[in-house]
Amino acid sequence: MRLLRLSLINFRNYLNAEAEFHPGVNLFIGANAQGKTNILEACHLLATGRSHRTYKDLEMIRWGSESYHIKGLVQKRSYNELLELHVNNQRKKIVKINGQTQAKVASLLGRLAIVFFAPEHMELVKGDPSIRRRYLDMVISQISPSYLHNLSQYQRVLQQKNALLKEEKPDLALLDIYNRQLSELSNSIIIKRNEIINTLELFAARKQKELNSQEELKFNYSSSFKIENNVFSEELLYQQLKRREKDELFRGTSLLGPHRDDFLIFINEKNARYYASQGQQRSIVLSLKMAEALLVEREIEEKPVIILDDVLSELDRDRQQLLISSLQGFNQTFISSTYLPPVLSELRGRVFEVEKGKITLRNET
Amino acid sequence: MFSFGDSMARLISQLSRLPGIGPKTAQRLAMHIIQLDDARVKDLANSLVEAKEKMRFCSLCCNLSETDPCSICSDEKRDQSTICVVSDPRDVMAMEKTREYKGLYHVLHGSIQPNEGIGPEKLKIRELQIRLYDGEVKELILATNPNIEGETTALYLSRLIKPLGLKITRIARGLPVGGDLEYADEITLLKALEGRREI
Repeated sequence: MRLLRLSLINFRNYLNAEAEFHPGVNLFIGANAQGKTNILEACHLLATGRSHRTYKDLEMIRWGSESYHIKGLVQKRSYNELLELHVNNQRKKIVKINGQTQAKVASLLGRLAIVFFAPEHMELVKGDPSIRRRYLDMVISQISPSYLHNLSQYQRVLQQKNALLKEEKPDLALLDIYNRQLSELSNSIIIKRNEIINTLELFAARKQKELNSQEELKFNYSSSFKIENNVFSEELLYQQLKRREKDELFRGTSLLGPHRDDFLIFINEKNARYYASQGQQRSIVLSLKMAEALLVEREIEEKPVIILDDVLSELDRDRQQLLISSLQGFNQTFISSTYLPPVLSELRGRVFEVEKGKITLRNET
Repeated sequence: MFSFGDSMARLISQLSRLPGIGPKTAQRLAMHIIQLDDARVKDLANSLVEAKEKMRFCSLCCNLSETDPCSICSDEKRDQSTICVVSDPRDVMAMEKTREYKGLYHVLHGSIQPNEGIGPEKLKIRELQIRLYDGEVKELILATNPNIEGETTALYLSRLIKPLGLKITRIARGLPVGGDLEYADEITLLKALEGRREI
């Protein structure tokens, strides 16, 4: 899958800009605050309907104008598709595909597959469980609509249950129904998370070997439920919820469930959250992101576009080299950087200069 | 700030408190009303007062009605052994459009949502239980909405009523009739697939 062309009108600091991309590497070079990330953000919007850094659509409209317009031409294996995202002057988001207005913004999902890699992903190893959980949910939601549905149903039931637990005299029959509903949803959520973690582990371990042959990478799903030998069922989860009922009533909140789970990363049998060095942390995130790309490819049977927002500077020379060589010739790649990294000098692709909301093609190799 | 006067301001503010009416629409409606003939305005005002005075809840099914019991509950031609449970009076209207359902109804007036302060005790559940005691009702059809709150309410009712030993059914969910498969959203399609049956 490739993004052939992108045009931005009144988006962020772009008045009217257009660029045609190379099927290989596309490098955006410029000083800070010139608009490099804005280009990558526009790709994220076309892929998911949302920005990777803000929930506020208005923030992305260029100062002094009332609407923005992003247009991208995507090449797939056998056809091209024109994707448009437009926030109009009534501040409504409109999506068009091949010129046809769509009823839902979600119709964009899956049409431009991307793997987005930004500096904040470095937090995945050392950060709170919630960061890993959100990452995992986002990855799975992109490839499984039923997972996204189960997850949102789970959140809704959980809110009701928590409200019930806070009541003075909760209706216990109702509490039992919520526990039944939650154990059913938890079961499908945990099954899917386990499945995806196993696949990610397989792919990431392979990449990790390429980065450093000695280190062994393992991922493990860690549930707030007691799950032994990976054996669980709706009924077993329900029994555990039942057993914690008194505790939950006393504390007035839900204590068990996928909303409290984590996935643990082990490097050489040690929990990476506590024991990974800076260098190891970077290798792990890099392997994980490359594994994500392989996962998406397996699911949609096309190669996703890889987007690296200012992450090369986070990696040392060897890791840069490895990342680039593993991408080369396979996926179309977008990279933003403040300088021309030496590892890229021999790559096939285009270099764009970004300055004050203008994108200029500098050279092609 | 400019104002057309107190009476106009009061009308606009009253209208804007109605559901789905914003300040702009309220202004437009108010303008329209004061430009109508006196007779039509009186008619409108009277119909508001009259509807409010005459409409009540049927003491059996809790639906909105001018009479008590309502026209459905007092219709002896209807099947007295089946009750269809719905959340809202509007759902009765929707079911009646089928012209096929000949049983009775029971309106709960909402679904269970603790985070909105609606517990089971706020719904017309006790009224339903009273109707089931004499054993004349043989089947209860649970037609609450196919969303998570409707599902919870249906489950709650089925557990409460199971001990009475009558047949309890839940309406099916699936694809809209007359639609194209390709336009169905993934989740509806998935649920329809799960609920498939042999032919």
